[in-house]
Amino acid sequence: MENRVLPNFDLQFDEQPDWRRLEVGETDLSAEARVPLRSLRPIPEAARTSFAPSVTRLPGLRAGENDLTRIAPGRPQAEGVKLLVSGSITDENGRPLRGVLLEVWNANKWGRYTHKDDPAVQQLDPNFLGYGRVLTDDDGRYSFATIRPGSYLVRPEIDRWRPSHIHLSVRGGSSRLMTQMYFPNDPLLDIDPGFQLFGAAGARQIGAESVSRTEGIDTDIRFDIVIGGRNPTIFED
Amino acid sequence: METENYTCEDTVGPYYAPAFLDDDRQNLTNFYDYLVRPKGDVIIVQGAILDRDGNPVKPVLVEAWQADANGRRRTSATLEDADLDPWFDGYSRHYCDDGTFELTTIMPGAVPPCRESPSARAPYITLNLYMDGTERLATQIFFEGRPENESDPLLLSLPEPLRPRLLARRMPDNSDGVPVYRIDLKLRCADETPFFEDRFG
Ligand SMILES: [Fe+2]
Repeated sequence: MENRVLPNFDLQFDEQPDWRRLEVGETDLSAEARVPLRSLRPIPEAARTSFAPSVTRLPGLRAGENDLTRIAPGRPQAEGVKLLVSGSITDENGRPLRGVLLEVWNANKWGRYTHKDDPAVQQLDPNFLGYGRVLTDDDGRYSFATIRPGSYLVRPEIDRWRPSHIHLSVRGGSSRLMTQMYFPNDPLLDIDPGFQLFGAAGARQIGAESVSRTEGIDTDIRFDIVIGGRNPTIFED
Repeated sequence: METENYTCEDTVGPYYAPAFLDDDRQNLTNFYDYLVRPKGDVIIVQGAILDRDGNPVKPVLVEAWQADANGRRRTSATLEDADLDPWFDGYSRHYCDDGTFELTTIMPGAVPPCRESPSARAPYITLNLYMDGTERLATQIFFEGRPENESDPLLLSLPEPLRPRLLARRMPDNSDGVPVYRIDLKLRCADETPFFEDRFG
């Protein structure tokens, strides 16, 4: 990544060669315009805790928010492969994170989001919103149902597609993480700029599939989430 | 040596749901519409998030947190402290559709040395930005002209020429007489905003 084209100007204040520089994914136009040029700066010990969030108030959830296969309880299911995604959310030491909020969003079967800014021309599914939430239980466990999202074309001019993925955000207390879950054996992972930046750690981002025995569900997916790295949980609940 | 086992950060992408924000607030000066008010001076902090070409980045999910007027921050460890303002929770999250953000809040106090902060700190607001194409970006902003800036450990950790990039500048008061501070956060350019590696331990 070192020889990427950098604008020709003075980087004299980039005096932290040992600190991480965020990388630009290949052919990722958003990244090419936004990722900071200079490495991240170290935080002196005296200022560290001030960088940890403290979220003491989370929303109350409505019934059925963790079933994305329906727009409301009792409504018909959306089209596509029905998934039941479940797992634990723990800190790096395996401590379960209780009562933290998981926000979930994904495209529909045809690879289109219901978000107003999605330019995709694929069809919408009247039975699929694609946004849901769930709180972890006392053992730090979560589960939600959704539709297996379709791949979608992000760079038509170079025919680059995103692999199927489910967006996940975790927050509560000082815990937080913004991530995406991917699917095993998806050939598009090999050309996804974001996924390629993970290197070997990309294996942690892939859910484990098995045939479901749950009624109304086709495939179970196990995806355990560990909050750590840049996102440690530093305040006890 | 610890083995890395954590789930990797990934970009938020362009399609986060504004509806997830629920009653997360852009105004921290009213306590969920009760007739109680936090102590301190109301201010507005506003700015833009600009990309390499000076274009506003949209959308951006902005998280902000800060201390109360006494310089105390609400965490699970400080909830019972007598000098913590009970009517100020100091946490904001909002979805910036047009590349600009505006937070109505209380001028944070200078932080005295305390259990959570072993060194004194100048008044600051922590900002976290989530946008398509990059992982979370974390920084802190300060207020132009505050004498505490001269000894703040985070500001002092930066080469001197970079420090002004974290200073919000005083603008004319708004039509209600509320002081306005402004800072633009610049990405991938010659005078880009410094961002911090907030990995602990
Ligand atoms: Fe996506």
